[in-house]
Formats: sequence, structure tokens, C-alpha cells
Amino acid sequence: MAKHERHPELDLVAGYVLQALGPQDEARLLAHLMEGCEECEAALRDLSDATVAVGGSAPSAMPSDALRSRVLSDPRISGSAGASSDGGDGRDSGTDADARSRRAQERTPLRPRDGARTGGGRAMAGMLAAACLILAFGNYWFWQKAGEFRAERDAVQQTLREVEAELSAKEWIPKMVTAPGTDCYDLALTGSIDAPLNGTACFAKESGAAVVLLAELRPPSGRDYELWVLRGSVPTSLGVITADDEGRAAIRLDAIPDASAITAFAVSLEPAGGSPEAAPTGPVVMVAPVTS
Amino acid sequence: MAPGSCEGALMNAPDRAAADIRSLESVANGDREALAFLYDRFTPLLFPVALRITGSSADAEDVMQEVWVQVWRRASSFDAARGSVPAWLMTITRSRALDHIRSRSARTKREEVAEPPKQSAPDPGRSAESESVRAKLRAAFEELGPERAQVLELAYWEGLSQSEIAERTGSPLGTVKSWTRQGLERMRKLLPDGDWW
Ligand SMILES: [Zn+2]
Repeated sequence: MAKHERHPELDLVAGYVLQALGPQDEARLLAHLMEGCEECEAALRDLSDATVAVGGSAPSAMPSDALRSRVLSDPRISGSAGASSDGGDGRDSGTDADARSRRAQERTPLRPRDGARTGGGRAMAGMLAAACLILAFGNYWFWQKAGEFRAERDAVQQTLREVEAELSAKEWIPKMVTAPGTDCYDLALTGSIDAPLNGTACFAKESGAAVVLLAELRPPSGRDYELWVLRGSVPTSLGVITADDEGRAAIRLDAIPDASAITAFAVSLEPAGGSPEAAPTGPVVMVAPVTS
Repeated sequence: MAPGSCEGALMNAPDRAAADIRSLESVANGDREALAFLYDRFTPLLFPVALRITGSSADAEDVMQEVWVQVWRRASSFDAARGSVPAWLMTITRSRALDHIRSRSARTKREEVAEPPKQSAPDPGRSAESESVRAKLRAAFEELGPERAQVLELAYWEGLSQSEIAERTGSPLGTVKSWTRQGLERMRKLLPDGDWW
């Protein structure tokens, strides 16, 4: 136990398995795990089992026999593939989407990285094909659900509010493909670097559509910020982020593969061109855990 | 395919854990039999958690239905590197049950249930074993001491965040964090290997 003392994150692991961490602590822990810490990973497995011991203290009980057939005949549990609800590539069709896609690709600040990643190569290719990027703040989406958007917007930070004001001033007509079940998550700073970054990731788990907005993105020279998704302990790069002159970027992903498995979005600071490995090599600077 | 029950009875704990992972992979590939297998295998473990949190067997059954729909949809997100299948299923159950009482709390207050409402009869041999482990875990929980037990109680059964717990108990946040960890570590030691439920 004492060997863990040099990991202040270990206490966070306990809170994490109970889903009791505040967003800052959760970001810090996920960043720490993403950077690779075998002891904390081991503790995660161990303490996750410990929750079974807590839950197991409940008195035994069984549901009615009728529940089994009720569950197994639930229309949401159909005979087709378990991931059917996440099926398809989530891309919309039609000329609007195509035009948007072309327009986006013409000035894509998200650069595909050199060289295919081992393992995730095929997934990466699909992802990058599906990904298109709108250069910061020339375009911006409003979610169709304006009320929800406003509630989310209030929660995000000042810079993003300014962006919206700027866009309103330009009377830019919002145009956005909305997937039902879109939620926005703050990208919380992990404290690993001293920079006033901020951002938010809006994500529809069923379709894999996502928009990631970032501000104050000013990498030191010779370095780049890189966007990631985490599926449990496995990171996948979504590419290097290029910000505009104001340090802002808006990244749109039409259909991230295996979206239902995504547990977090993250940003790391990498050597120019992105991490040379399949995982972040530099500090993970922001994390947005995706709750299920 | 879900492993058959005969095969299941002969397996040791690591084999069982591996079989659980395979079943979950089958579920991710759309195998409903595998889902039924997991339902049968884990309902005795999961239902008590849903019942304890919701306090009503009708609500707990609704929760369990949502749990299995989520398992069906999200089986691919299970990550064996981060914990066991039972732990993953129990986490989903607890989350859905806490969601349920949160959405319900505006309408009705939680009723404490002294004894669980009518249920189907569990296998007497199994339930005796299960009840003895459960009693041991309950005793262990009490032995954590009032502070650690309270912190775990509020976090696990009531779904409070660590800062809410700090506020509720008047303890510093750092203390809440270490009590949580110490409490969990002690509970972990008492968890038997294999299927005790
Ligand atoms: Zn660590």
C-alpha cells in the first residue's frame, strides 16, 4: 500500500470506481491513467472489485420470474447485433451534408497523422474519412434543441460564450445535423501544464457524431495538441489539432467508430506532428469523461 | 455462444471469469442467448443492489430491465483491463438505480423497506451460501468504523459525490478521499473468489 503513496491519484481511483469524483479530479485521474501508470491501473481493477463487496452486502433478493421474459422480449433487445443501435456509420446523406463535408475538408485544421497506426489503422482510416473539420468560428453549430444548448452553454467557460456572441453578431445562420441524445461535456484541465486552455466536447453516443470546441490553444513551438478518444483504457488518436490565429478550433466528427464504447475525450501535448506512438507521449492536458 | 450450465458447474474461478468475458463478447455480437445466460447468472448478484437502492421491487425490476438493455447495447465498451464482468455489471446496476431514484425523488420520497417484497424463491443451497457471505460483508462494513462506513454508505448507496460527502459530514475533502479508499481496500479483502452469490 505504501508504494502507492507517491501516486496522489490513488485516492482518486477509489472515488472513480464509485463515480463520486468531481470533474477536475476525474480529469486528473484519467489523464494520469492515459499517461500510463500500472500501479493505478492495478488499483482500479482491485477497487472496482471492491465495489462488488460493498454491493454484495445487500440482503439477497430475486425478482419475479416474469422479469426474465420481459427483459428478453424488450424490443430494444432485438435479434440483430447488440451494437445495432450504433450501427451504420452515422453519416447523414444528402447534398447539404456533402457540401458541408467538402467545405470542411478544404480547410481542415485537423491533420491526418503520418503513417497508419498499428491495430487501429482501419478504424483510424474510417474515422478520418468521416471526420471533417470546420475552421474555427467561420462556422459553428447550434444544436437544434436550442434550450438544451443554452443550458449547456451556460456551463461552459467564458471564451465559448464570447464565441457565440461573436457569431450572433455576424448573424451566421446556424446549421447543424443533430443526433438525438447529444450531451456536452466540459474538457477539464488536468493541471499537467500551466495554460488557460478550455473546451467542450458535444457527443451523441448512439451515432458517434461529435463536435469538440477548443480555445486558448497555443502550443509551444515544435509541439502540437492532439485529440484523443478513450475506450476504457485504450486511447485512439483523432488527429493533431490546428487552431486558428486566435487559438481556437472547432472539430467536427460525423461518426466516430465504436462510439458506444467511448469513455472520454482528451487532449495531449505532443511533438510536432503528433504522438509517434499509439498512445499520448506528452502530458494529457484536458479530459472530458463521457458518462453513460 | 453462452457456455452451457454443465460446463459452468465444472469451471474454476479464472475459467468462469474468462467465460463471462466471452459471453459479453457474444452479447456485443448480438447473441441473445448469451444475454440470457448472463441474466441467469448475475441476477442474484445484481437485483439486491437495485432493490436496496430503489427500495421497491417494482422499481428494481424496471431498473434491471434498463440495465440489461444497456448491457445489450454497450457490451463492447466492457474493458477487462479495468475490472471484472461482475464489477462492471454491478456498476451499471448501481448507476441506473441511482438515476431511477433521482428522477423519482421529485415525485415520491424513498420508502425504507424493512424486508424485500415477494420474490421468486431462490435455490435454498445457494441462497444459504450467499446469505452467509452477505452477512460477513455487512459485518465487515460495520467494522470499518463509523466514519469510513458512513463515507462509503453515502458514496455507494446514495450516490453522493466526494465533495457532497465532505459537506454533509463536515469532514475535509482529503479525508473523505482517503476514507473511501481505505474502506474499499478493506472490503476488497473480504470478497471471496468465485461465485458466492
Ligand atoms: Zn499512479
